[in-house]
Amino acid sequence: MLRRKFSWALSLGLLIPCANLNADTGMKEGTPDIKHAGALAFAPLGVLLVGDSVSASIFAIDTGDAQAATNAASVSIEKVNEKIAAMIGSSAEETSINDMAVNPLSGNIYLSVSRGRGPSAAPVIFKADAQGALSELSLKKVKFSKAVFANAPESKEGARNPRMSAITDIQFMDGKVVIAGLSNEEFASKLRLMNYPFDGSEQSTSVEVYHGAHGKLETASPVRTFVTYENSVLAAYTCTPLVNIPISDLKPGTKTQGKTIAELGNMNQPLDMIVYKKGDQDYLLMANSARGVMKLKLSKTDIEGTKAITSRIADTAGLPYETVKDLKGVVQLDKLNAKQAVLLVSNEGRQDIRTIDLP
Amino acid sequence: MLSPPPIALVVLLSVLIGGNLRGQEERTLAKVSVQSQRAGTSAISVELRETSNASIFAVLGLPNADRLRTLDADQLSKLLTIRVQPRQGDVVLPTLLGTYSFVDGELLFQSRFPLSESVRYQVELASPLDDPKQILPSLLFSTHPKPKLPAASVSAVYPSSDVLPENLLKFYVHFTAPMSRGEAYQRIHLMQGSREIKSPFLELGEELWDIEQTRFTLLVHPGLVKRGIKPREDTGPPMSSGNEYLLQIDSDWRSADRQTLAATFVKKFRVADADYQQPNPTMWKIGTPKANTTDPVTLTFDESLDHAMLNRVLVVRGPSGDRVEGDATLEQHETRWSFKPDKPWKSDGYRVEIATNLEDVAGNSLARPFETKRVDEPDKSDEAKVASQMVVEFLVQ
Repeated sequence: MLRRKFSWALSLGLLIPCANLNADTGMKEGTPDIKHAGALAFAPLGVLLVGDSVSASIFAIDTGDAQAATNAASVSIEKVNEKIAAMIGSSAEETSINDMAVNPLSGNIYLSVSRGRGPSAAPVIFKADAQGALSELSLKKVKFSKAVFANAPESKEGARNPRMSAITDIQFMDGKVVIAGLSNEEFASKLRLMNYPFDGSEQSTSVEVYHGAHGKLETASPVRTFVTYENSVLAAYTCTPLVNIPISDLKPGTKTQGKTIAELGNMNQPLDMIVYKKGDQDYLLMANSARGVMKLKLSKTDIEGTKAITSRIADTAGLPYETVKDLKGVVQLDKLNAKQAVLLVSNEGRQDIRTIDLP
Repeated sequence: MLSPPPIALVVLLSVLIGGNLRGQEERTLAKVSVQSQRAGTSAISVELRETSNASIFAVLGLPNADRLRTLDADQLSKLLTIRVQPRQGDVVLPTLLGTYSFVDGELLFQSRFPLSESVRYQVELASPLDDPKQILPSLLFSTHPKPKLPAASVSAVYPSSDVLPENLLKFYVHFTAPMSRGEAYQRIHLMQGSREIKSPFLELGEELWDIEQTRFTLLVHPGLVKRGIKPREDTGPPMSSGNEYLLQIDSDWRSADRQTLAATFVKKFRVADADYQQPNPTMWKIGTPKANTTDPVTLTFDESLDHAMLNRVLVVRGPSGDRVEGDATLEQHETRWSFKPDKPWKSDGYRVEIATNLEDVAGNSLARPFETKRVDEPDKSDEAKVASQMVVEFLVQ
């Protein structure tokens, strides 16, 4: 009897740490072991999703930053990379800002940063408030959860495995985290989907894209950046087409044929995208490496009505776009509120955060 | 009550801190007196201490310890400020992240990260005596550069052949030491004679490194390799059959310890016709070893295959399905895989399992060609229908 009591006491003792578990999100309190803070996105309730290419994981961190913004702000931080470098005691040359995301609840801007450029670079996450004040998001004793990729480059039997998957973009939609990335070895076009809150499940789906000329299909090209729009994923591929994929088609273990709705053209690589509404019209804004930010009118009927580009590309093929020429050097963008967007602008080693009215 | 940090007089004292730290022990690396002892006061000095993972600035000899003991971290932070020294004099940079405390008569600041050798740190003390005339100098601390390792160099580039197909998809660049992220695409050039080919590579913010950052994966821009995609339609492929090219890797590329490479590296190669064919395992030849030897089993392919994947996706298994341990080497420009077991072969049946995502140098895998079928043809290469693995069996006698 005494023994039984003892074992009950032991069980209770073991249960106490679990009291911290958040029943809704599967989060627990602790320090997430992030190795590299890369792609960022927000899930509901101020939960920051952090893509970590090095540990092949997605972290979900409760920022506690769920207070609604009181008024629209115009955030401007000049030389943000130099300021962040100074705060972490380093130089701008040895500091990189990897991604930027706005918390849609608070309007605060989050930046993922690497201190150092070697394999032991330290990950740091910064927050900028409406006044442009920078602070570190402390990762000590935070509520978080972690999902490791199903086929993470586990240590190969008897040898070190150099394969890694670089996460190029993550988005939250409909209770799922969608992850785009590419391997440093095989050339594949898989989008990963994880349920959120994380439940250990992971699906992946290959998305085919039509080639233009010769009526070819391609199965393999990694997605560089994407947004969700009207139950679709609009994905910009590394080989430059902009492709519409209905979310309902993203089924595990299958191949989906996306529809090429626009092509960006030569010497150009998509970097980041947002979707917004102005008046009754929806737009897509895309930062890219070669020209100013591109703006496309979007509508479900236009996308459905656009003939998929399956024949030789002409300049007029696909959805028309205009170029916002005065926006140069934009490497990251996100929506600040219904009327404004925040940009990370890069120019010869200097990086600034600027706010613009949505064009 | 507390006066702000003085700005009128800035006397710069540069303190070099030497030596590498080992272990967790706290060590004082530098000590600078900022005020000489006067009657009734103690000398004030600033020390820099380091452990293996933290740097601490300590201010000793401050008067009014009783009062300082009652201050919170925010108030303490107004007494001691530490900033990175700006490159241009007129810029005021934010203060260093860290935590303040007052312990055993010492005002302590522990920086969030260990100090970096690439910058100097400017330390300013508010007048501890609340005397505006008592201006204390600003101090500069910097760390000694750590001893440098020998400069890194390019140890190999794959594919190793000097004849490559027009639709080559990627290069692997191997280095002798870990490299810095963020400058790869500035340092690698594709040249035709003295003419540089413009933007031939896929440039990614998340550069494709292995975990040690000693191997860099360089993808040729897929929009230029794939037929019918607009970039290629506009400019043609970056390399064309019959011509010679140079892959040039600048010596300016810095390693993780911020040294440039020992030398510029150049790989010269000739470009042959595009390869749209998948590797054909029916053409492969297997060389079987003899029992009771550790002679290698060899697979000779019909073409050069992906160097990285050959090192990862082939597994040798014995009759019971157990993995056979040993070393694989790649020969003859990645057309031959040779596996030498740690222990002698037994007289029995073995097999090599090969993941069918194994690619040739143009991205055609065992499972599917890089560019797949025409739209109007039935899909013969449905990934879902292709086995993820092929097996080559061999008998050891």
